[in-house]
Amino acid sequence: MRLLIVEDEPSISGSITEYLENEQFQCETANTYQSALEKITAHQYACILLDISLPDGSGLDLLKQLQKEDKTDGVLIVSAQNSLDVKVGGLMAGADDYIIKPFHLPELGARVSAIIRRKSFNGRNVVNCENLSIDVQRKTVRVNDFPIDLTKKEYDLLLYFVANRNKVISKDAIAEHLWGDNAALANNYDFIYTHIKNLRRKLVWAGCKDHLRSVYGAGYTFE
Amino acid sequence: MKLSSIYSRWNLLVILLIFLLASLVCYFLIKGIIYGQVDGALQTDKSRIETFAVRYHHPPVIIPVKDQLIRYVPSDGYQEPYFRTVVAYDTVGGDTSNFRQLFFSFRNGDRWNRALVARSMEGTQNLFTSTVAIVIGMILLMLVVYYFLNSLVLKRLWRPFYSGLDHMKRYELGKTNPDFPASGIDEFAFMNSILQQATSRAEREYRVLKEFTENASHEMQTPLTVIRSKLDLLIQDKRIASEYGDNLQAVYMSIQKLSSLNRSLLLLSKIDNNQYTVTADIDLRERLEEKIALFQEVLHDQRLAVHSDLDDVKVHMNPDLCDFLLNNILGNAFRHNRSRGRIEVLLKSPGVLVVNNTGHEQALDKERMFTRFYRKGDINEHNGLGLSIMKQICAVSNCGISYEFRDGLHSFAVEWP
Repeated sequence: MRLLIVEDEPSISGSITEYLENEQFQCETANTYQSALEKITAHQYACILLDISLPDGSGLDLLKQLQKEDKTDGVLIVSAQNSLDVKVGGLMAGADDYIIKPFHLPELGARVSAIIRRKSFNGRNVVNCENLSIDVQRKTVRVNDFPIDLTKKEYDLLLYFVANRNKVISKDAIAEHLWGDNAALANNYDFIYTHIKNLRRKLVWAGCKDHLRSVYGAGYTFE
Repeated sequence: MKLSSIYSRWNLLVILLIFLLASLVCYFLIKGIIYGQVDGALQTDKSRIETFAVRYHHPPVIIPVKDQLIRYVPSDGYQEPYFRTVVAYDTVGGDTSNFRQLFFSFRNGDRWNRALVARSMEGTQNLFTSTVAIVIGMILLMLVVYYFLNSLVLKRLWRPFYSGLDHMKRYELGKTNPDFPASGIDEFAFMNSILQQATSRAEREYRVLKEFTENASHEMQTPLTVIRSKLDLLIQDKRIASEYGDNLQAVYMSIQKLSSLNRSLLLLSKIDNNQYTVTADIDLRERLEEKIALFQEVLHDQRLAVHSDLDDVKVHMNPDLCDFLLNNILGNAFRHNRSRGRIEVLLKSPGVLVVNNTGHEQALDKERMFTRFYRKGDINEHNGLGLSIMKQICAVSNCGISYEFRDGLHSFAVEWP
């Protein structure tokens, strides 16, 4: 699957490429409005990561162009502006989701996976990982076809890990994913541990392999 | 005391003095004239009597006339004529009054006779009483005129001054654009033009500062994103991650704080820009319950005793601002607390929220607590914008916010209109 990263800051597009690129995704980058326009007219992308403010134009115009050409590429707006107007404007113009800078790469990864999932499996929206299957629409999790009962936080956490499998996710990113801006209140991220411990216990108890590893000090990984 | 009252007080005093002086001068002047006239008349009487006596060798027969008196007295010889003023009974007029008398000697044949001619001075007495009456009357009239001048003319004259002041009083930076009324009076026109200049200069500088804050905050987003994403990549190397875990964690935390500071600054400038105008009905109780649970979870290691007593209260305000307000007021209570401290959240109808918490042993500085970057002591964990944001939100949502420190409890109260 091909992803297009439209971003004028090469450091950022470089980080995104490095994080997202694997056997499944190939990333391309465009750092101006013009080059992005050429790329979106010439190719079909699974997801376009679109910065709103480009040196030679607005990302919103690219969105309009996509609509005009009846393209079904998924679009994730990446913006420095946490303003409701831009957010609503972007979503109205056909974007699938919206993420605000400064974001965590795992958060970006999770959003991209969610958009691709929605675009490619119309209707049946199930994420499988070995003997684990997550029904994203019903928000249920089964291990070997046996349903397990997770709290909302545990479910969110599991989906987050699965979307970023084999990546080390910092506690910071986990806290922000689960608690949003309120995570900034905490003096430490020990409170995450409880949720991870419970999730791990429930999965192992249901017969799932123990995928979760703690990477000392830095965070957790789902292998 | 009003300028006009001080001015009129002095004005009245001076005018009164001048008036008294003038009336005194007038009184003596007129008195002199009247005396002169009466004395002249008495001299005429004198020369008539003398002429008569010379021609007919006896003085004229006295016929009593009102206000006039002539009497002859025997005399030993010539005496210099002299005037005097006495109170006497006027037999013809039938009352006592002041008389001006002229004593003189006249030759009656070879003898010296003495005569007294007198004329009533009733006129001068009337002059005195009427002068006093006129003075008192004028003073009273002047007071009345002054009163009306003050209340009508002066008030009208000063109107542009008060309207200029009123504009200045209602003036808020970045909100209202005061338009000082034009005035035909030079002083007020000058004052208004100075005020206009001052406010537009403040306005301009405020706008520049606001734009600067906004731009600076936006510009910070990109480097923050770069740092954060590079860090996210760095920990993918498990060797680095486990070796530098604690350091990386500290960097993550700092970025988190920096980006939260950035968000707060942007929030403040957005509130200033009136970007939160949409309002909705909000179930405060439901929101508070959610947030208390959330804070208890995020800060569970503090082991705080949270007591809440929440009435069913619905308020009308911008939902985002309400969220920020509750986050800040509860966040402060949770964060600036001590281990195993206490928090009370009270929500009362029709719309009063009180949050009490243990924490720092001293009260916050009421004067400075709502200013940006206010910090109590050495607490360095927060960005110092929380209280300022709360105050700003309350101001645009017409809520009242107050702070008390009682019995070791910090107490914030927000009151919805």
